[in-house]
Amino acid sequence: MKKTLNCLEGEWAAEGTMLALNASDIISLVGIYVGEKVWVLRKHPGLAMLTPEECGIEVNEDEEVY
Amino acid sequence: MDSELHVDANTCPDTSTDTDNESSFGNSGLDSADLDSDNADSDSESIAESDCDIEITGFSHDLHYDDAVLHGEPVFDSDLDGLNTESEDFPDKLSEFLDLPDFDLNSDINAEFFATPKALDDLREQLLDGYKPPDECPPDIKTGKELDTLTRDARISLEHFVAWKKSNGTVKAYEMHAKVLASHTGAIILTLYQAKKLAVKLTGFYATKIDMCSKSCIAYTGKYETLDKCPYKPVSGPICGSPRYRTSCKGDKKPVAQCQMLPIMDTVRALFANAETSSEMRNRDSCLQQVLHLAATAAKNPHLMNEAASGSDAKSASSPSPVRQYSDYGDGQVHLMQYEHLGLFKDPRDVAFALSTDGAQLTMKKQSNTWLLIFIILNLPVVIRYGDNVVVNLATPGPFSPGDIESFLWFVFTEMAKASAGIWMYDAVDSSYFLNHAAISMALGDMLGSQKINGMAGHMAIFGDRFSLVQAARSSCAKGSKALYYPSNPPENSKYNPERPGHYNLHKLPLRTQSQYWRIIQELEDAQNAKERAGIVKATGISRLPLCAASLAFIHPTFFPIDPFHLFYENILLFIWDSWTVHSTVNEQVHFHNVAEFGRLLSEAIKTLPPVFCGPIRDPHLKRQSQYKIYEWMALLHWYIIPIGIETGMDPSVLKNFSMLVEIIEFAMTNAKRTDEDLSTLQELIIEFLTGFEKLYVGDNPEKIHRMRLCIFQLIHVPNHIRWNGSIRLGSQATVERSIGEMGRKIRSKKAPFANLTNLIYEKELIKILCLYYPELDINHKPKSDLVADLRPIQQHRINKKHNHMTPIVEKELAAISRLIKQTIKIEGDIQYQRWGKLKLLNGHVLSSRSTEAKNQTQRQSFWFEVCIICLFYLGDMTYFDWHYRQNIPRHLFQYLVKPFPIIRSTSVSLGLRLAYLPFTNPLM
Repeated sequence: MKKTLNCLEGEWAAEGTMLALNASDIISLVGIYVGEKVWVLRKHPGLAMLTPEECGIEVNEDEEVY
Repeated sequence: MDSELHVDANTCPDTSTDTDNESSFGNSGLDSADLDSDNADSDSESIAESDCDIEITGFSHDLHYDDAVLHGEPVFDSDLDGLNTESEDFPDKLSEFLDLPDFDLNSDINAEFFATPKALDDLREQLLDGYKPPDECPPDIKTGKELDTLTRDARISLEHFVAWKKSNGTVKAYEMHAKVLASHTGAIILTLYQAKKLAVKLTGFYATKIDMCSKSCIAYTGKYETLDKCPYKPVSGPICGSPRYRTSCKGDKKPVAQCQMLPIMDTVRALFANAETSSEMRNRDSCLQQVLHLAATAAKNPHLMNEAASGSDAKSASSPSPVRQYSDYGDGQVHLMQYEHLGLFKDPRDVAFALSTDGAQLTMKKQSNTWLLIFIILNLPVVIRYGDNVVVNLATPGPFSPGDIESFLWFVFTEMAKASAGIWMYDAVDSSYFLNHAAISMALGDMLGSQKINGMAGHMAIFGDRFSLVQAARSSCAKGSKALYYPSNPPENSKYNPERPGHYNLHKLPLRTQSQYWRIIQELEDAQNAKERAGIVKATGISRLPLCAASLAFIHPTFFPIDPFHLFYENILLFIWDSWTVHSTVNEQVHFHNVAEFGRLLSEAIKTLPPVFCGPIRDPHLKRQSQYKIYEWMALLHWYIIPIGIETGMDPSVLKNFSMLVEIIEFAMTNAKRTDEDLSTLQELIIEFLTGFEKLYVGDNPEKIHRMRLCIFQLIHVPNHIRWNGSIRLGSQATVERSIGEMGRKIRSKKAPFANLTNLIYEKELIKILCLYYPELDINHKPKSDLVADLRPIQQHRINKKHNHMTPIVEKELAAISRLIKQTIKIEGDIQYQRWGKLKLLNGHVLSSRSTEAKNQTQRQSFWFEVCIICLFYLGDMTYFDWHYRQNIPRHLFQYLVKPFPIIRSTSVSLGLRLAYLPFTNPLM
């Protein structure tokens, strides 16, 4: 892994290895973008300012509907 | 800026931009390998061998700095266009006043800082209207102890009323559930009207009705109070002249239109009458006391501060060096100044407010504009400050936006004038009555909202930056061209802007100050005619004394802070994106040739973005003009532009410059404590960004200085905002926009949406106050002690120990855990383990594991993983969880992403391995 323009960039490892981590080590991780390289997408602070609806997440307005 | 109620926080970007994209896109010819090598020395930072906490908490690399910026609030100043300023020497006066924006806590503030103009003194006196708090506490102060006097029927009715309101029920629902309740309890349930009336009586919470113009021009308050018809004259068009009253069929004089205002101090009174919230209301003072303690320590031990200032290693010092940190309003410079120099907030219970306002369209009909005013209580800790604790105080009932919004705010400020003088209330923590003082510390608004209340000339004025007296520049010599731009070192300045300084030192800008502000206000008051007045406005960017200045906590220019929400994620990002794509020619370095390919790759990239974090990000090449939402801009800024930009051959210098902007915004928006050193570093980064931006986007072409927009320039004010208010996030308009959205969704009446909205606002606050006084009326109320959350494993998986105690996969997992904690876990012996499928986090989210998915045979098609870990959890017996990537994902990413290190602390070993609790200190979201 390395940082390029402040973005985490790396490559997939070979098959067959398993590693243990603490959850607190990856709390900012939201996903990956795989292009020519593998880019790690970290949780950004803007998300914390938005509600799920404002984030484009469908919210069940009718919780009482079943 | 107005936004529709049914639309989320995303507001309209600059609509003046050209929607057509360039068709002749090509490749810049630079491949990613070139880019990587180019960055290897400066920006690339190997983390393979280092600790790899990838939380965003600070700068990732060393930078250089000084002072910084913010976002643009426009004000339309068409009346002033064409006037020749006769105050060309005015900027020279600015160096005399540097008392606030960069004030030093150890410096003396000059006397002019307190030299308020007579007009302000008169205004404050008028608002106070002779009020003096009584020496003795009045006998009718609410304490929340009246519930015991209620009958059983009344109490059940109130509980029913609260539950009904909190579930946003219909009137029919209230009646039907009341019948069910009555039939099973034998109680006589009050009607909705009676229950509401009882709630009002118990809380003493009454709304004030204010006469207003039927066309929303003014409220009949202050200077309009005695008028019978509307005197308001819009910028274009005749005087309104609408009558204030109508005559009823009985011959009575009735107001044609009224709006409702809620007394904010009733909410404060209820907050202190509740022991739990009363304790929380002391948070502001706790932050302040920490700063004061630090200052006292520094005064007694100057050597410690010197060591800190000289960068001495704190760890090697005999005692830790005290370091000032900024995190919230309570520990910001402004609050300290209010306390030390303005004599405010002396009691731990004194209350500071942020006022925020914004407009919205209630329905799809054009004539349904409303303006909301909310109060944010800065005493509360950030975690509970927003959401239900925001007080919606006023909503103008349309049909148009208010003409003179300050007339609608008049009663707010009369109430606040009294609150500043002192209001008696009951404190449930001390079980005593006390005289509370409160003041508004800041007023928030987007460009249009702030313009209506800040008394500044606006973003289109020559001095359109409300934090500095940097003069705007023209990008054309053509007659009528306006000075709207803020380059620091423009080419051919003497030709294009001969009256403007040729260079602004970004490290030492002429910042606005309060001393200077009071003097300008006095000059405006003393002006003999409109022309003279307009000349002052043009030369200073200050147009009048705003009503907000009546607040005793008013300080210029910090009172109207930047709205980072719009500045960062809309104004700046949209502008830069358009500069790359449609507002640059193919021959320019900043032009993005592969924008179509960028869009295609973005669409592909979304497949690995978990929908739990945000909705789909659309192709900006195709959808930029289709209400591209703020979360999409955020995703582009923080996630995709740099990786995809690199892979699509975007100019490396442009990308490198952009990466600085990303780092600036991430730093500014991250909720963390910041030191002066952090902020100095931030300032240097911003200056580096701005200098590089001007070089790239303007170069030596004087007609391209239009790319140095105010929104870009105002980044320079960001570090100061963090110093002033502890966090720039305080200025966000997201809160009021969210309140608008929440209220809008609850409106059921299409025929009378304003009346519906008015009732919703009142009843929401009524219920809140009722439940503060009488928390036991809320069926969902839990004492705080019951709210202690823990990380709870759920869905235990059975392990067949008889036949297959240790499967290969379990062995593999335990081996991985052994590596993590750097201790061998024996697979025989005394260790008992359990496998769990899910873990419920403190925020309510649930992590699911590979075990769960394997058990449930999930056939998800998504190509992403939510969590990919194995972690240990030890509570008596050993328990472990295995979180794995979903199928279709290569399984070994994380050995490269994060170097494991033992957060789990090993303790005593008697019978095999014992492990302490795994610290999930800050779980997802």
